[in-house]
Amino acid sequence: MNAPQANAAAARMTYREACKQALRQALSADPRVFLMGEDIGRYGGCYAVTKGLLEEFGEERIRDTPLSESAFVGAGVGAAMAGMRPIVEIMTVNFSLLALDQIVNNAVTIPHMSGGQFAIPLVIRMATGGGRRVAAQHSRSLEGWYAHIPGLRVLTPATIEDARFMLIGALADPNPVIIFEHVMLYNMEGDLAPDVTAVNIERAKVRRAGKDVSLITYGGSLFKALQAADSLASEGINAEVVDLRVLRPLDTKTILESVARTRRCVIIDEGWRSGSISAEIGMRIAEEAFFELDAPLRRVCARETPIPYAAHLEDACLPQPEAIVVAARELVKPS
Amino acid sequence: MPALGADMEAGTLVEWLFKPGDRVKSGDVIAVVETQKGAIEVEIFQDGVVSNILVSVGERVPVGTVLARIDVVEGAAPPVAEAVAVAAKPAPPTLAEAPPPRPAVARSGRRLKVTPAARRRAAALNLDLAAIVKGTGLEGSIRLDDVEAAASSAKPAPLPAKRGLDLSVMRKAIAAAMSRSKREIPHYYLTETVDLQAASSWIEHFNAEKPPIERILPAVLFLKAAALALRDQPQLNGAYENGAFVPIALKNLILSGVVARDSLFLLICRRSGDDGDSDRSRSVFL
Repeated sequence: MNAPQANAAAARMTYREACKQALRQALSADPRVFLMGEDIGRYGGCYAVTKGLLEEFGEERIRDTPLSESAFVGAGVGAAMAGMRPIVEIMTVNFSLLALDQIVNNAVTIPHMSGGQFAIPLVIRMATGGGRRVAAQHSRSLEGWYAHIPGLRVLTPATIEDARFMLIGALADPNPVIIFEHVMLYNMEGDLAPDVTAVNIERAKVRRAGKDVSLITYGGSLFKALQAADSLASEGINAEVVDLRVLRPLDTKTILESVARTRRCVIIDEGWRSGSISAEIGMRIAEEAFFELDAPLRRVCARETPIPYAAHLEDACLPQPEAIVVAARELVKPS
Repeated sequence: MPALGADMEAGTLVEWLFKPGDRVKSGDVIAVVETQKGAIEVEIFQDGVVSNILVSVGERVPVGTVLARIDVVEGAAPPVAEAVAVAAKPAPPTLAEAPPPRPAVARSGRRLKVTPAARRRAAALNLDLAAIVKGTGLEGSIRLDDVEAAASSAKPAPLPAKRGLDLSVMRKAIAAAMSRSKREIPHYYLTETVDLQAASSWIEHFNAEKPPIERILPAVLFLKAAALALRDQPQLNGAYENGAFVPIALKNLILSGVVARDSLFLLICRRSGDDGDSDRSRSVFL
């Protein structure tokens, strides 16, 4: 009943629905899969991704947990060690800081320190990003931090298709995987092509081809970059948009190929620029594509401040299409 | 860089015959410069000690560029004379298109901003980045488009210390100089019949006992006759400059002609001794 709608025409659905269908498919396909997290059962998840799954799969497999990220992520690490395929939901990346020890010190290191005797096939889903007027403690984009840690795979599905199919690959990975779902994407609607039943979790993807400048981004910023590219096109600047999809391990090859084509690059990242994934990308370009560059590298990142609550301040703080247009235009057509 | 010909705009320094610290005296040949017409020796007109060589071998510089500095040993002259440039005549006005003075960005110490891609492309095209006056990139940086534009504007790369002659350039220079002299110098033609019996008998006699290499041609006598005539009638040898006649000291006579498809033949008759005899001739084939 939960198989992908293989024969249907393109199915229109929200990103939230795509996430739910992915979970439903995983629960149906493998009895070792179970969900764990705060308010995911009776409440249906703080972003309503798991709504209805408790009724469908029962309390054994859809488990509400106490408000203790360290405890339930730790339980997920243990379950994974014991052979289960836990999918842990942390409400937002902001709260995942309470579970950093379990993620970074335990989940990542146990496969390594046990000489491969214990795999940790743990999947952690969490919402990330700002824009919902929920203030500083609920609006951060810390996925770049996780991308720093060897042993983690960090996925940032931005499209309906990736939201729907990245989970399959994540569950198949014997090492811990974190999936970041941007809070502003849950209500986004899109078509799911009927013929797609899987996606890779290795490669970045060019979402829009162009020749004048590469806009490199991921997650919630992808659509801002695409919007900026439309705007740039109207002034004769042909921007290429690269969706990283995977922040760790980074698909450097796709990045370098794009920059080699356009010779100019703007990196868009909702994280703060200091010590960010955008810094890493820029450095890799400088290291490996220096001689291809025909302009300095540029970044559009969040302002270096706690994310404000007030709408106009939050908007001013986060990367916006206008800022991307200005940065790209400056590289292609200065003066 | 002296103007070693009326139409010379630039020259390539091919050899220094002195080095810093060497003593030179007026009349010494201190360098060899290659022009469109060939390699020419550069004389110094000042005594002194070479203090500083400013143009290195292989460099091509416009007329008027200081090649070296000479410390003047004695006298009231300023301690450092830009000897060579002082000696050089100012570049004559020329009707040929003079290239705009090259902005000496690279040498003046200002660092050019060039994108890595543009720099690599310019190297592949052997294009001198200093020739690009203004970049269109950020902060005036030179970027790929600027390099491509400069390359396609058909400005050939400056000769990178190329030894030898570009014959097509030489032909152009000859044509420009010939046209100019015909255009700017009033030409008039006089005819006189002269009995050359005595001259031809003298040549016959002179050549009779000589090996071929030492024999002279009748033309040499014509040249000598011309030289003697100019010595006796100096008003025939000069030019009008700013409305006044300026005589030119008789020094050498140069006869030139194209003897083969791609060569320029110069016969230089040097004045020797006080009697004005042009008894030695030297020919240079290029």
